[in-house]
Amino acid sequence: MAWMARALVYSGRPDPQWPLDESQVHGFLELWASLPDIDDSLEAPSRLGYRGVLVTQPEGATWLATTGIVQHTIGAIRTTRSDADGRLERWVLETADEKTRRQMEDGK
Amino acid sequence: MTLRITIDIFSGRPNPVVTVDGHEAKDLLERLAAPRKPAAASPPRRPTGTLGYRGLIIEQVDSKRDRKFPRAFRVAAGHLYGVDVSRPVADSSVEDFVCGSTGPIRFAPGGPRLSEYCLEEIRRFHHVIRHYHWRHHRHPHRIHCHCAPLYEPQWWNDGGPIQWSNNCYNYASDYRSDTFAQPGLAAGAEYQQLQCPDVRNGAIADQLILAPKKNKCPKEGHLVALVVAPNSDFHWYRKGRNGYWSHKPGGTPVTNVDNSGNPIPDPRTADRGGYTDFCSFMIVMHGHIKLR
Repeated sequence: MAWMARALVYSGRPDPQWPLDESQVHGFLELWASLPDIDDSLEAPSRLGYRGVLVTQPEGATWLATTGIVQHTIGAIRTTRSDADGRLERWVLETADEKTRRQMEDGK
Repeated sequence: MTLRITIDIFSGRPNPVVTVDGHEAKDLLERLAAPRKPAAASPPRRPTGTLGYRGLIIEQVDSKRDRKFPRAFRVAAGHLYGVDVSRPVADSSVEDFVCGSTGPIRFAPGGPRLSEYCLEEIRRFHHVIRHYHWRHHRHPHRIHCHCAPLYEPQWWNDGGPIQWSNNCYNYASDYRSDTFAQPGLAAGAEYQQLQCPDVRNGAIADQLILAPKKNKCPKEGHLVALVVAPNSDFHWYRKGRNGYWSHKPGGTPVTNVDNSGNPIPDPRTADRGGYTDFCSFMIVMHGHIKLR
């Protein structure tokens, strides 16, 4: 199984998802490591329309990036970091291919 | 010392971000220091997600940190919020300074128009924080729809496979399939177009029943509502025991408020964002449907 990125765009239809290759995983983890810790918790916004991105590791850990915050969850353990200018969120979205990006634009 | 300042103001566009260093950073931190005389009034409620200006996010981004401040913190309505700290700041008009013509905002693209917009938004935000008494919308308790499913968002919102693998259709039908269910798929009649008639027919193939055009609890089963963002997506709501509606936007958590944060007495009048077309009310008879 591959690392997967998912744009949280739809409600009924499946969200656009795409795999991350090895270099993209490496880049993602470097970017995550550069973000400052914050004391905050995050729940994915429950509204219609674009809500952020979710990155999933094959072993089950997830990163949810939305509204300037990124939350890493593994089991019951959560780590939250500031992504104030949305760099990590934008970086993940830019790893999508052209067709997926067009699909995301339709849903936004 | 370098500070990165994000003006948390936009929803769709990226927020303006500027950096200051040297004496400008030092001056800003002096403005953000704790006041000499502690404030008598209690701090305003920490701002939660609203549209428009929501505060400044300030990060100390290099190794020369000022340890009197957290590494990252928010400033809003003259208050500082960070790890283990919530206090007023020495200069209660620091946000006006940051967004003013001589403040750090001058380094952001957007020029004087951004500065004017920011200042106007700060005034509006301060007014709302000080004068609007945030209401906690309690989920009404009186039972109207005796056959409706229990409103138990915590069961769906596990942050794991239940939440992420079940969508609006699963939730509205109160049917966990872990497949992000698509109308008609289980019956071999999946919708082909993202328009009301097609998605509705898919749901009928799954054994949902078309209901009269009224927001009324059925005698048996529970009421759901279908809306579409034409050619883009569909969405479902379900009516609860107390007569109010709840929904689950895709893999994100179940909620009982609309896109404006208001309770939903009727999905036809709720803020549905881009899901502009109201299609139908339908009835789900428990145990009769199969989704995939």
